[in-house]
This record gives sequence, C-alpha cells and structure tokens, in this order.
Amino acid sequence: MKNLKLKSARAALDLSQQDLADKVGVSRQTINAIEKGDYNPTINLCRDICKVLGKTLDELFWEEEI
Amino acid sequence: MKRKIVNIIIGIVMILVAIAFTLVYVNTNKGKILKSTGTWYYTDNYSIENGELNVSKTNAIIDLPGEGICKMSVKWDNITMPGALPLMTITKENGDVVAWISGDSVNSELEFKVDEAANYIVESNYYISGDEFKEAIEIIDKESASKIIIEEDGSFDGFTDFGKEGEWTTQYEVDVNFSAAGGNFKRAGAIIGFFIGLGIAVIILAITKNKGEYKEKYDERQTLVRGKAFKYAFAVAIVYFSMLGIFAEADLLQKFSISGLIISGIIISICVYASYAIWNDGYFSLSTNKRGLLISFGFIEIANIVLMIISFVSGMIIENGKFSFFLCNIVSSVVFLVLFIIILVKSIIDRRED
Repeated sequence: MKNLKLKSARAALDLSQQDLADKVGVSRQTINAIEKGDYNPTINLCRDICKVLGKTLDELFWEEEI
Repeated sequence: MKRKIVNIIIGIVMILVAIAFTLVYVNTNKGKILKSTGTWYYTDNYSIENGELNVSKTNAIIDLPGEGICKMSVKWDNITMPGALPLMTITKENGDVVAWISGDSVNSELEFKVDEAANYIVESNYYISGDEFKEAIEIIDKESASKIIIEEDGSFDGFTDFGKEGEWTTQYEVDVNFSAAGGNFKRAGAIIGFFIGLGIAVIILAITKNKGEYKEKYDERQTLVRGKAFKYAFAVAIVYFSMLGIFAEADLLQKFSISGLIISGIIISICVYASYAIWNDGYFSLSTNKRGLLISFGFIEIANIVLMIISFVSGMIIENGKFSFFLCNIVSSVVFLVLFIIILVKSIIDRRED
C-alpha cells in the first residue's frame, strides 16, 4: 500500500527522495520503495525518517482504518 | 592509508609471482624434446619370382609420450635395384594410419601431429605394380592418391622396374624426433594472464578508492535484497552442478572441457546474483561510483570479446574435437553483456524516477 503521507511530508519540506535518503542514510531506491508500498521499513528506519521530517510514527506510518 | 599500501603490495606481489612463473615455465618447456627417440636401421629382404612377392621385413615400435609433433627423416639405401616400391606407414596399435611416406625418393621427410601418448608401429609394405601401389595409398589418403599418375607402361614417377624378378635387399635409416605440443603454453598463459589481471585490478582499486569507501554500506532493504540474490544464485549453482555431475557420469559431455564447464557454472551463478541485486537496487552500496563501475564492466566486456575472437580465430576454442577451457570466455562475454545492459536500463529508469 502506497505511503502518501510520507510523500507529502517530504514534499512539504521541499526534499527530493535523494535528499531524504541522504539525511536518513539509506539509498534513494529504499525511500522510493517505502513510498510505493513495496517495502515495509523496520521500526528503526521509521524512527529515523520521522526525526528528519519532524513527524511522529503515527503521522507517517499508521494505516488509517477504513 | 595503511590498507591502501597493503593492497598495492599484494597486487604487485601477484604480478611478480605470475611473471616469475611464466619465465620458469617457458624456459623449462620451450622446444623441449620430451623423448630422445634416436635412429632406427631396418633391413628388409624380398624376392620376386613368377610375379609373386615374398617379403621378410622388420618393423619398429616407437613410443611417443604425448601431444606434440613427430618429425621423421627416412633415407633409403637399396643394395640393388628393387622390383618393388615400399610404402612406409606409421600406425597406431588400433590400426589407424597417422602418416605415410613412399620410397620413390632416396631421402624423405615427414612430419605428423601426435594427439596422444601411444605406441606407433613403423613398417614398410612393398608393391610390385604401380596400380597396387596407388590403391594402397588410396586407402590411407585419397587426396594424395588422386595425384599419383601411373603411366601406360605401368611405371610411376620414373620407376620402371615394377615386378622385376630377383632378390632384393633394402636398408633404410629412420631418424625420429619428437617435441611437445604448445598447448600447455596456452593454458599456462590463460592462468598467468588471470593472475596478472587480478593483480592490476587490486592495484587500481587500491589507488582509486577513497578513504571510507572500503567499508561498503548497504541499508536494511539492500541487505535483504542481497540475501535473496545469494539464495537464488546458490540455487542455480546447486542445479547446474548437479546436472553437470549427472551428465558427466552419463558420458554426455565428451565434447566439452569439464574445467571450462565448471568455471562457466560459477560465472552463471555470479550472473544470477548480480542481475537480481542490480535490478532490485541491492548491488551498489551507498558509496559506490555507479558510473565508474559501468565503465569497468564495459572494459571487461570488451576484453572478453577480444579474447573470445582470438580463441575462435586461433582455433584455441576447439581442442582435440571438443570445446576447450576458453568456453569460459564466451560465457563470460555473455554475462558481462547482460549485466551491462541491466545496469544501463536501471540507470535510465532511476533517472526517470528522480
């Protein structure tokens, strides 16, 4: 499932995927895979992403109940 | 810095060892006569009476030790003018004629390729008519026999005494020299070239890698991808080598060099690993210079194609009727081409995603 929250949070800070990847310490393709929903990051990576984007885990990674 | 120096030293040592090995190998094997074969003297006695030939002849068995070239020079010394022409054949123990020489000239030389260590029988047969002489050569060598012209009077090449009655003695001296084949040089060259290339690669990598690049960093997703890539490559290797073993046991691989097939299997497994890892963005670490690697792959591919062409043109690709170790060059060329294409396509896709 696509992670649109991550994408919009990144766009709000005017960061490209490469910029976010460099700040977090992963490859651009990993950020791309997370946003596309092709990869479920570990809790440690989720925390690192949240720190860089200034968001909480719930704000970026919790699935909305339909 | 220390690690860089160590790697450079390792590379230099590899090159020096390869060069030293080359010098020792060439000096000990160049033009080496593996067996001192010497000179044989034969005496054959035969008589012709009422058109019938009776022969008391000798033959010799020479033991040639392996692949190589055998040179023989034969000097015929007829005590009296003969009524028959000799045809000397060099035959394997199974009856296959590997070379022949006719006694129509006083001194003859012949050279033939020896493809295996074996006993070779040298003997002369005598013919009292030109037609019989030609028929005997036709059995061994049709092309040469077609060039033999027997005159209307039955003579051949000025020899007119076919069937001349009487008793004859023929003595001949056969001098045999054997030299080892150059095939070992090709294999030694391939191995030496490999170590020299490896040494150069180690030195280049040591010089061009910056501090910090030695520890390659992969993120968690890349580590997972690499794990899967290793798993698939291992599975392919298991299947490949199992089948190789079964086919080899069933004698179905006679047309191939087993060592070439083994190395090809390793190359194929590496291809599977690299292809999966590259396609799923797990091959390049966070610090790898992709463009540099693409250029390196391109150079390696060109080198492999050149080697492949050389092995085809020089005939090294086929040895003794089967694909030689140089089969690996073909496999390697295909693999690096596939990897080059995958990297290129992936680069284009990545650029679009950016």
